Amino acid sequence: MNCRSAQKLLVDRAAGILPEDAVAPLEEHLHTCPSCRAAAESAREAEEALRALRVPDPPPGYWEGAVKRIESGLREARLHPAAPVPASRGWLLPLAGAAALALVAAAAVVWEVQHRIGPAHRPQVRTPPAPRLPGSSPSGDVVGAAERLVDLAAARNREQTVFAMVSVAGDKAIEILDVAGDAEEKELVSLVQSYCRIVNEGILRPLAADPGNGDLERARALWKEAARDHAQVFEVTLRKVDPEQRKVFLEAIGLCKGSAQ
Amino acid sequence: MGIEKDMSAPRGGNPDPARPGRPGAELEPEAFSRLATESLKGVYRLAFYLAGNHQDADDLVQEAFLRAYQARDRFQPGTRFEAWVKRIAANLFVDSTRKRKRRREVSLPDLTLLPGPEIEEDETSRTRAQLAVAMLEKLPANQRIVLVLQVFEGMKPPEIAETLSVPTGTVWWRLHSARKKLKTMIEKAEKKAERGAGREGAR
Repeated sequence: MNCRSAQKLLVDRAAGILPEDAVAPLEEHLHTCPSCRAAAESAREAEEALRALRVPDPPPGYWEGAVKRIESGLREARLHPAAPVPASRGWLLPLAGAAALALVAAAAVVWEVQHRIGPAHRPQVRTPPAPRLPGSSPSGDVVGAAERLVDLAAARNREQTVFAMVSVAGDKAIEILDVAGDAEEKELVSLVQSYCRIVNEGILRPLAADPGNGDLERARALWKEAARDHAQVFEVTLRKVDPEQRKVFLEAIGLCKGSAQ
Repeated sequence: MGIEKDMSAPRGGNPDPARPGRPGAELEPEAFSRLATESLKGVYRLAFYLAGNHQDADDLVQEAFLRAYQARDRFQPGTRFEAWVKRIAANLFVDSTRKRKRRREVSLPDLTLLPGPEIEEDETSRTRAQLAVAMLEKLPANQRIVLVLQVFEGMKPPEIAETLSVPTGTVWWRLHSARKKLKTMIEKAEKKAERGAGREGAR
């Protein structure tokens, strides 16, 4: 392991969420590298600072008062048993529908990947850190995904690549739903489906069909193709959405195009 | 999306042998009230880490217990009540930040977390704790919630993924990104302090 790879894993090490297969190589590297050891110490101290944050005591008498208010809320709920449980809130239904579709699509992707790879090769479920592609913009899910993909493909780690992509699909679905208004339901469902399709057909299927791959250029080409498609889908949707929400989609298009160049 | 899921008992929650219960039994109001009293502090603590101040934490607590009561028939006796209500609170927080976004209120309220007593002693550590609060403040809600659940609730990434209905890879990535931000902030602050000390020394 080199310093660059080691540095990326130090925060996860300090957090205690380093995947098992990365522990030994990283420790070996730290044993021989004073500067990474110093960085590991900083990461540990940062983690310590985070974990030391405490919730201040509530105002005096709060606990007793809070219990009384909870009990009063329960009495109210008993007097009005028809009060709907949250699952029935109308405004959530379209989002829930889109989300369910996203989850079903993502689950289908996961199922397919696991089915093809088989349980003996079940991946370590972790999305590793991303290096920067030359000339890429510093932020954005799509660019980040491209970077992760290329990095992982270069490392010949197909299983983690697959999960990185599923992860990105989930993120994008959540992001889209976050900005959604009810009127955009159909377009959003279509976007989520499209994104999952791109991940599935554009990336996962070819990778799964060719177990020998892991080639950098191939991964890059696959991603470019997927990003181009995705930009088109966003552009079509852009014509239909609320003008106020356009800037979100414009940004997404920019990211897609940026990574497809 | 988590709102439907949040009403089910947490799968994989540690069974509580002290409360064997009957499968499918509803929580009677008295029993519910007793469990609510017992779990109040834990739920408030999580709510505060998420919401960042007393008033919003209290609102979240009240809402979480009410929702839990309304969905009490979905609670599985023998699983941990506190974990179940926390799960509801976490999903309510996600929903409230979504609504805030829909209203174009992008930023979360200021955090009023404090460094623990072990931090007070040392200047560098105190600065780091302040930076940790600043980092949590700046994090998008979706990163803050996974970090809070992992750091302060001790949840493992797959458990967080299940609680929030997001892929496990997404949870890993958000945890990593949040910590990277803190590391960068600390490095910048320390470089700045070193430069300042260098200038002082040169005088």
